[in-house]
Amino acid sequence: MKFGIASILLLVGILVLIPCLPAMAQTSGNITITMSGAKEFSINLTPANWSFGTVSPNTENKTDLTQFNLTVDPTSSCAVNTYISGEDAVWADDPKAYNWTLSSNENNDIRKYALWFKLKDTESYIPITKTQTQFYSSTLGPGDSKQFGLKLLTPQPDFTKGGTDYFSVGAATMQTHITISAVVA
Amino acid sequence: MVITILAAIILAAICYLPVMAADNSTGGTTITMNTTSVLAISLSQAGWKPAGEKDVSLNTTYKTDLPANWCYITNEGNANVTIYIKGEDAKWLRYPGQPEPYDPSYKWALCSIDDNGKNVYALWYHIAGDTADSYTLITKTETAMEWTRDGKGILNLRKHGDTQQFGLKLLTPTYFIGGRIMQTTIIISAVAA
Repeated sequence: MKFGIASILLLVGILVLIPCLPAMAQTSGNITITMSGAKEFSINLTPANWSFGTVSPNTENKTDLTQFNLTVDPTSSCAVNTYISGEDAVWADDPKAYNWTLSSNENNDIRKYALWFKLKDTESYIPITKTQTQFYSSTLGPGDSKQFGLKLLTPQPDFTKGGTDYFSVGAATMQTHITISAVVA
Repeated sequence: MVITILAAIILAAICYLPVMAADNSTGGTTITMNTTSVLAISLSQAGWKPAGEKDVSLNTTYKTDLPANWCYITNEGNANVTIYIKGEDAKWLRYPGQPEPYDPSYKWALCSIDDNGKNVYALWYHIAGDTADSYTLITKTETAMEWTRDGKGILNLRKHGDTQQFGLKLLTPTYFIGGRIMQTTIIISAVAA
């Protein structure tokens, strides 16, 4: 009985040691690990939706300068440059049937609207166009945030009835989108 | 030792994973604006004499000169509207050439079953773009105008300047008292859709 148990243990020991034989042929080994830390980052713009409510033709509408907030994720590993752009506004019910073009020169017209942003604690509004323009003049680091507001100049009226100006679509929702992009500084 | 080497390879791979992540990030806000609404439509025609300056005959069908394009309905407001239509009985207005007082006791009733009869007349409309020579009955009940063709649905004018054309057809009664000027009115209205 004792001989049988000893034989089994010996056999198991041999089987376990066989794969280790090559490693045991040397006394030490070195492994060099090389890594390049990625510049990881993300930004967050809030709120995701905002309504100016009911607007009239050819009028300015402003939000509070703290209405929107851009934040660079604190876990980001680098500083970023930021850019802002806008789009044409479309009739939410039927985007192909009616739209307002986003102005490229701060002037409105029939079916052309203008949009600006202004950072809190800055002096002036900066136009938002369909071309990306710099959002913040310097880089933003991890955890940095910037509050800003929008100014909207609606298009000139499509028609006038009873002395009141109107757009061609009534009781309608016009929808647009602004995008802020961040790239590694 | 083998286990150590495998662990080192796995660790190295884990360290390289973040390098594959994107190098830009975006955030967006959807901005909405609501517009004020006004309801108004116009009709390009204010009257129709089915036989011109002549008298109409018994049990005879008359169509507008342009069966589908006789009258324009135009959205003069900006609301998305559904167009409704209704008719009424034809009233005896007066004798030709005489300022006879209107007598309500004599009339042609507007039929509601797509047929005429004694002192009963019928009216239909045809919207441009509908199946050729297809007509829809006009009754005294206000009803949304619609195409008979499948899929065209009811008539909506969705925004300012949208327009649609239509024509009329009238079938005179199988019997009426001649020599009297009869008049009826078709009411076309817009209701916010």
